[in-house]
Amino acid sequence: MNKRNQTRPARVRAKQEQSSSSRVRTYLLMFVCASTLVCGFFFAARQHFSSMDFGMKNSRLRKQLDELESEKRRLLLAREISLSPSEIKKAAKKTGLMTSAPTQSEVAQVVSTTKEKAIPPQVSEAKSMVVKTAAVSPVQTATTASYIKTDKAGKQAKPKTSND
Amino acid sequence: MRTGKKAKRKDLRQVAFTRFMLVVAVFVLWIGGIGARLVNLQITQHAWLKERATDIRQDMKQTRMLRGTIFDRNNRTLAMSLRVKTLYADTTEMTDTAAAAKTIAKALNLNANQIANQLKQGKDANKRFVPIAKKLDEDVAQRINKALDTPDVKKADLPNFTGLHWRDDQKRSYPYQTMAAQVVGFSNAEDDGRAGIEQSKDDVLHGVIVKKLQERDRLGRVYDETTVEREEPSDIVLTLDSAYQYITEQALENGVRAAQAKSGMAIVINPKNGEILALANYPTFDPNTINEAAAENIGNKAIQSVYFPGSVFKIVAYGSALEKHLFSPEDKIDAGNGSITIADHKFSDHHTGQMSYSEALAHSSNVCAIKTGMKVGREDFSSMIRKLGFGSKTGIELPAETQGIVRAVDKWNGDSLASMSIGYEISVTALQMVTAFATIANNGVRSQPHIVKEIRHLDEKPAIVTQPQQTQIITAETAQNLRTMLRQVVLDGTGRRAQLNGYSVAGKTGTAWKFNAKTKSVDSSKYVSSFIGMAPADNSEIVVGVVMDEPKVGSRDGGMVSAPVFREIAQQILTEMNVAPDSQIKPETLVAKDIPEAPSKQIKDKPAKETTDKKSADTKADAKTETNAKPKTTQPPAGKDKQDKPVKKTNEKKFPDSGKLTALLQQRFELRYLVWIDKSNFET
Repeated sequence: MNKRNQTRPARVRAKQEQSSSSRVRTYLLMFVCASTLVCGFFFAARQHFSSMDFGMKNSRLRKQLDELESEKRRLLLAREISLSPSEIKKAAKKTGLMTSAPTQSEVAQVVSTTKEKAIPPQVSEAKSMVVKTAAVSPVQTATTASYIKTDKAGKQAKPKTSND
Repeated sequence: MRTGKKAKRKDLRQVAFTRFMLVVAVFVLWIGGIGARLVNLQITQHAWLKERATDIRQDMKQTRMLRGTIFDRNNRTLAMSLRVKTLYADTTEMTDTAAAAKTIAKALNLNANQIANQLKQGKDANKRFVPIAKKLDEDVAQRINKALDTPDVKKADLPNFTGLHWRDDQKRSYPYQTMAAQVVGFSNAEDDGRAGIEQSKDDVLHGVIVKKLQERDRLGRVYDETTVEREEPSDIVLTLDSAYQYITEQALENGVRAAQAKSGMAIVINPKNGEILALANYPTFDPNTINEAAAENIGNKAIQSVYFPGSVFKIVAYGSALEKHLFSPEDKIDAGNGSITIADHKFSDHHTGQMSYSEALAHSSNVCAIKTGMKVGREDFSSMIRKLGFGSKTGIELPAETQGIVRAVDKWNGDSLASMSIGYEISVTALQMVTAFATIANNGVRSQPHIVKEIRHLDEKPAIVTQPQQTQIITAETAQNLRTMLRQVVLDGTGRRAQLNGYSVAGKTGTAWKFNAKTKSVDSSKYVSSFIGMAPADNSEIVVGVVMDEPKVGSRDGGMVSAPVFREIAQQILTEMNVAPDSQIKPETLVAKDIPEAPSKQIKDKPAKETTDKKSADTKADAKTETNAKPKTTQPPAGKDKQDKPVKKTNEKKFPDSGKLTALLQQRFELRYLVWIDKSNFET
């Protein structure tokens, strides 16, 4: 049919139908693009927060690893202290394997190590990722003699010799 | 009419256009303003803004890696660092320091006024680090966190208290306390080595600072962490054996106390490879409580102090002569009437008449040693001194080693050769002297003494750092002859108290007067008594040197004071090492008769010439003592060490009888560390 033969309203209607279909396609395209964009944003956000979450978990695990390594060191040190001659001597004395020597000073014990006064009053145990099993550092108690004192002790216990 | 309508429509369009343009203008101004502000912020203030943003989001955390560990040869830990925490206040975050101080003091059981002062001063100075409590253990830190917990405060880190934070720190621990303290040394609060291996190997042990870049969210939670990797500190394995070290220290302590000596040192070395198995000083200190240690006990006297070696040094004279084939051990030498004058200097002795060279060394005849030294001559004697390592550092991996005092030949006086032949006019360290004996024990091959066995990196194959440098100093024949002569010292001479049960011993006693810096002469009232020996004599596994400074009890000579300590050490260590016995000596022959050794010489130090009168007075007095102490029994013939003749015991008051001693030794070996002989058993 020739265009010239068409009536004016028919031409307008045809034009409107054509533009409405292209509009739908445009809207559809826009919707798809918007949806893709939104999905992309959601995906990126999810990745971002997941990454942050993993980062936090990673940080906690690193901290836990550090604590476990510290605990391992503490235990190693505790083992060494308990194997030290002075500790074995003490154990031997306790079990009656040897009589106590009055001139020998004791220089170590397995107790809390800190010399600072900053020790808070006892409260209920705080939760820790690592359960501590031993306090290990050697300390010198007030009763422990310094070497000068030890020397004096030695002099007191000196044997009587013929030249004396 | 139509024209008016058109004009009205035109006006409306104009108004709409004007309005539109106004709106556009407003938007342009608005966006322009924002743009200008953005330009202003991003160009002129970008640095400040970037810093602020980084400050809020990022956190640079600096921690020091734990200092390397020091092990003995059996991987027993001698020094180790632990993580601890320090509580500090960031006063810039605090508003009311007085109230905070009150709460902190209550929680930490500290003085509130002191804390308040600290915080106030910090606040005034705008300090971000005010330490409250240092180096606390993890459990103590957790208790403090609990005590300081404030529910209203929202904070990412602990303790949940405004302005308070923890800083990671480290603390050095020495689990064996005083054991090998002078060797291991100590490090200060800043993790810097200050003595011993801690100082000499500080570059290896030192914990580097690690930087961690932490990204935080708005709540302060770490969501990303970048660590700047650094090479980790290495661990050090020493040649020391903690069991041998303990044995040596115990024996030395007992010996020093029994002799009431000022101090003592003992070294155990493997002559075949130069490894130091034990190195003890007494009195000692505990590096865990370094603030309480006496300063004079911190130094390692075995390598840092020099002394006149006395008769121990006679091995140089005899060794040089043997090397030059001037005599054989069985040849005779005439001690004359017991005195010899060299360059107007009279050297006296209590040994007279003819004797073999072996007997001369066994009885420590000064005249014979001087005659032998004179035969050798200055150049060869000096050459032997240098070759044996005197006058130069041994190269051991410990700080502040001294090289001793050995004068050049052209600066020797007329009687210097004679003096040196009997161990005066020369100053040595105990380690130099022990190394010289180790050379004899190792068939004339000198192994450089060393104490670091290996340096270990994390997860890597241990890197052996010390390949002992071995040098042939004297011929194997000379070394063999010297060992034969030194064997006689222990069998028939001044070192009888060094005899072991089941093992042959070769060694030499030495007793020298100390040099008095005030009078610039030797002081006849102060001795340095030593004994250095090797066992088994012909295939030595260990060489042990014991030096006592200023013994005050008994005759104070090396045979009385140091030889028993040698015996204590060598007997136990050889048994621990499972060395096969090579001798059938019965315990009854252990303590026989005493042949006291007098200080080698009645000399005055050359640089400050003392008056002849005083010198001769000293000589007479000492000669009298020597005469009194001279044994009247005849010597058993050389080479009869296996005859096991019970000899009448003397000085029973000072030492236990041999049967009891053997029983006690056996008991000690069975129970190892658990049962140790009471000191009084040794002494009474």
